[in-house]
Amino acid sequence: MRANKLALLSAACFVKVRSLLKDFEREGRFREIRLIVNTLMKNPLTLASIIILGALIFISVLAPWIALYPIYESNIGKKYKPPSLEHPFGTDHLGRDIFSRVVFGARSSLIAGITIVAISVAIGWPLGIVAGYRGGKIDTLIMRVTDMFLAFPSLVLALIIAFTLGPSLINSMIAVSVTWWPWYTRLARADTVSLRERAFIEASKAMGLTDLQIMLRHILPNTAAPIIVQATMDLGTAILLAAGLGFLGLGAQPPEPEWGLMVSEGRPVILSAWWVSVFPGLFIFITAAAFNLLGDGLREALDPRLRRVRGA
Amino acid sequence: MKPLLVVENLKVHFDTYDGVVKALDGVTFDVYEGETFGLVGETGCGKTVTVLSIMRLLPENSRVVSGRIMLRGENLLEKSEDEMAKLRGRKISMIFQDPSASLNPVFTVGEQITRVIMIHQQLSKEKARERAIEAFKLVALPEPEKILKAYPHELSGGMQQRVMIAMALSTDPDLLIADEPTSLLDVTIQAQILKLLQEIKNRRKLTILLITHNMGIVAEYCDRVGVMYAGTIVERGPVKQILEKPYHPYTKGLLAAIPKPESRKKRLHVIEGFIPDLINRPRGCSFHPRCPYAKEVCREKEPVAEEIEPGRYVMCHLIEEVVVA
Amino acid sequence: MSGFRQYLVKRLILALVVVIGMSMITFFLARVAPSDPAALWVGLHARPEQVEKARIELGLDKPLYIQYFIYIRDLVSGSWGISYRTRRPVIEDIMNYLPASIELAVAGLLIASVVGIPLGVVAASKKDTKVDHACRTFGVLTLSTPSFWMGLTLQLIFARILGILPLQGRLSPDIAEMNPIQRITGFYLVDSLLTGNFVAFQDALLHIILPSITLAAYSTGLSLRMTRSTMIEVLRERYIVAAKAFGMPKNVIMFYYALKNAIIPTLTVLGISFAWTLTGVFLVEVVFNWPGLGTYTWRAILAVDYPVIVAVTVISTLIIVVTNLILDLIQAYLDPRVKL
Repeated sequence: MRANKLALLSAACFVKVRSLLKDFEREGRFREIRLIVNTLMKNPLTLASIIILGALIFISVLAPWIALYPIYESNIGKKYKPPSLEHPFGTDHLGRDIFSRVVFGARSSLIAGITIVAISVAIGWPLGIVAGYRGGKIDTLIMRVTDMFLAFPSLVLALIIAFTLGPSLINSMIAVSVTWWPWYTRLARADTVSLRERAFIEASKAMGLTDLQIMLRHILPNTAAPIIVQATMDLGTAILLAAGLGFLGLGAQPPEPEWGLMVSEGRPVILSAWWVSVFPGLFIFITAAAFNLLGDGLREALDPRLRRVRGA
Repeated sequence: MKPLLVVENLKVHFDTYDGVVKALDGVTFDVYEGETFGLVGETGCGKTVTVLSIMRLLPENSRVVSGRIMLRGENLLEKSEDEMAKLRGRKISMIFQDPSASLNPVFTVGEQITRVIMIHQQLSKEKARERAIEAFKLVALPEPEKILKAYPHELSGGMQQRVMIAMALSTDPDLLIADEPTSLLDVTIQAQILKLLQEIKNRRKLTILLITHNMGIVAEYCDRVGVMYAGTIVERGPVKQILEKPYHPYTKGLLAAIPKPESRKKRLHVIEGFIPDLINRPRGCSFHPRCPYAKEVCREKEPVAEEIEPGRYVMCHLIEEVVVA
Repeated sequence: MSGFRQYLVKRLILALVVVIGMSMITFFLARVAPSDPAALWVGLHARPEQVEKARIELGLDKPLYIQYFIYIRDLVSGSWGISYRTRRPVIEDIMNYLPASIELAVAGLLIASVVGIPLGVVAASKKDTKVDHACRTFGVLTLSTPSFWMGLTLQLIFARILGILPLQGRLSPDIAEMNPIQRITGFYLVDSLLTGNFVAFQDALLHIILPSITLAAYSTGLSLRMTRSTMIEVLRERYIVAAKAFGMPKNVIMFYYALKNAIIPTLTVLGISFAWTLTGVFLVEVVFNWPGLGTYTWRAILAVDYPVIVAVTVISTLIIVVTNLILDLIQAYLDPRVKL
């Protein structure tokens, strides 16, 4: 019985996806996507960031095979060894190989960043659309709540939440997400308000589409571009914040190889064993920079005004 | 009559992500002193690009590939940016289609017009203010002192356009370029503005280059006209003659498309097809895909403008046959 | 200008709502944390009766909403509770530590604006040239730097390897002893100048360099990027082309005409910069052992010091709300399109 249902469900999904793809093709979306990708590739900085991000994903997925040493085993005899051929990034206070730990740390950071942004977007974007489209009391209510969260220095609120829930990687991610969604609400709402006045919305209403249908079919896709750009850039900042919480001891706990945590572990010996802090921090920097560059490049590629100038 | 402005074989290209857009493919026309010359054509045919080229205000991704723009014998394309800045607003002025977008929203119109006046004439602020009021009176703006203190968004569309005209004429230019100055205004206001321009032109020694997509405006207010299609001028000459006896198939189509209430036909006349892709221009005559008379030669060779009557130029291979038809 | 007054009142009420809402959220969150404040107050080795007594004293036996009302009443009347950790009135502690944080934040914000905004203008005016790309890359790099790592690295380079700047703190211990700064405003740089204490001034200046640069980094990148896109938007507007058509020379357009249009969104940039600066103050204070509100709050969080946590929350919310309010009012005043 179950197998039948599953088969039916997957068949339905398959059909839906296929019709969606056909729609895309008809509306020339594939060509648009190819154009965007082309534009992205032309910018050397964006290209570099894509390569770096690809490498990071590669590293985090294949961490168990790339790491040189076990990351949890302590080896006090080898503590605080400077970078060498054996240990490219040196060892930490427990004799663990920093290179291997950095490699594994990529996982937590990438997951943290993506989760934070995904949650924030998932909450903020629809809220913003609803607020912008419905207007009136719903709008006021949503925006007041949004303002409340926006007024808060995000780190402080994230700290308090992280502390309330107990320090761990997951809780720190939740904490940051809670402070982040307001930005997307604002962004989506502003976009929606300007879209709402456009003629094709009126036309859709005249054709009898319900509010929900209009919001899903028309407003959602049209507000996607700025949200995507912002989300990509925010991935960088999200990783910074997650690492910051880790540094303060409110994120992943030892002996996890989280980059922010590793930087704080190296802090007592920064003047003598600088490699313990510098290498994990360097990777935080590179990852955040790659996301920011990508976001910048996306913004240029997705900006409709920059793309074509037909003769006036 | 001497020509004030002569545009010779102007070719302008734009570099875009999709390719090179050949926006102007050899535009040639001249404007005589004291007349109103109309440049008419559909959206996208290159009218605005032409006048932006004259003003040298094209965006960065543009290239003037060839041609000359002669203002009283001097080639504007060879002038430096500083020299052009001195000409703009002084010898050649331009007014734009959307007056509300062309005025800076955070300054009063008084501040804007006095600044323009002070840039071009070494006048004190008070003197500039007086000239501004004169200019406002010239364009029949009521209560000029009050308007000086108004912000653009506080004025109606018609008044905004009058302010722009005042700004453009405050320095007594030789040539006024008007890029569809009334397209966004109500029909009644349109007539007012265009009549105003005509009056001013007759009073002072002003030459007007009027861009429009409306043949009716051309018929009413222009002395000579150039019909533009896909970056070239397909027909050019005195308005009366062109209206009575159009030669080029496109011109014929444009005129036929004007709805006439007394006509008994139920359907509007339509020119079949779409304007061509300016990146991959069709070979030969750019109009041939839509031309009901198109022959083999039209698909192969580009036509050259021929003077079939004194002062009348047409770009078409089949002039004799078209005349007969 | 009754329209303006109406606007002001409306915004004030909204601001109040925001602050109240935030204080509520923090208060309840802090209470929900898994720790017994009464036990903390009395200490680790207390007997159960002492804990119980403390609980009644601290009012923790009453229902939650009553506790909140008591707290708000106290807040408004000026008694902000006693810190569980330091045993001093919270207000006293805050007054002690706040100036240090403000000094640092202002320094950071100043650097960020002075560097970021003009670079943004330059980048916009020379869009798509090498200058533009260089500026943008610089902006991205500063946006991506983890402040704690940058702080540590700067300490390493300048304090240890080069030895030209102090490692941490606001003042060298020997200067603090020999040339103590008289406290007028609490801002070392200001007070030392006011009292002619140039030795201490120089020392304080040296101490603030590294932390303020670290703090400024993120906001610099942010300001640069936002100013650049604002200027580009403005420069694309029709009225700029029209101004050129009227013969306005380019430098007049850039520095007078377009600038006025760009000031309004630039204020928004400043507001956001400020908010992020407040966020960053935290981490920077920890790294540099800066005796400010950030360090104080961090210790409070680790010690589950409720009164402090809630008080600091309310204060920082207040600061941000007030700053945003002021910025909004300035914007409304400057923009003739806003109907007042």
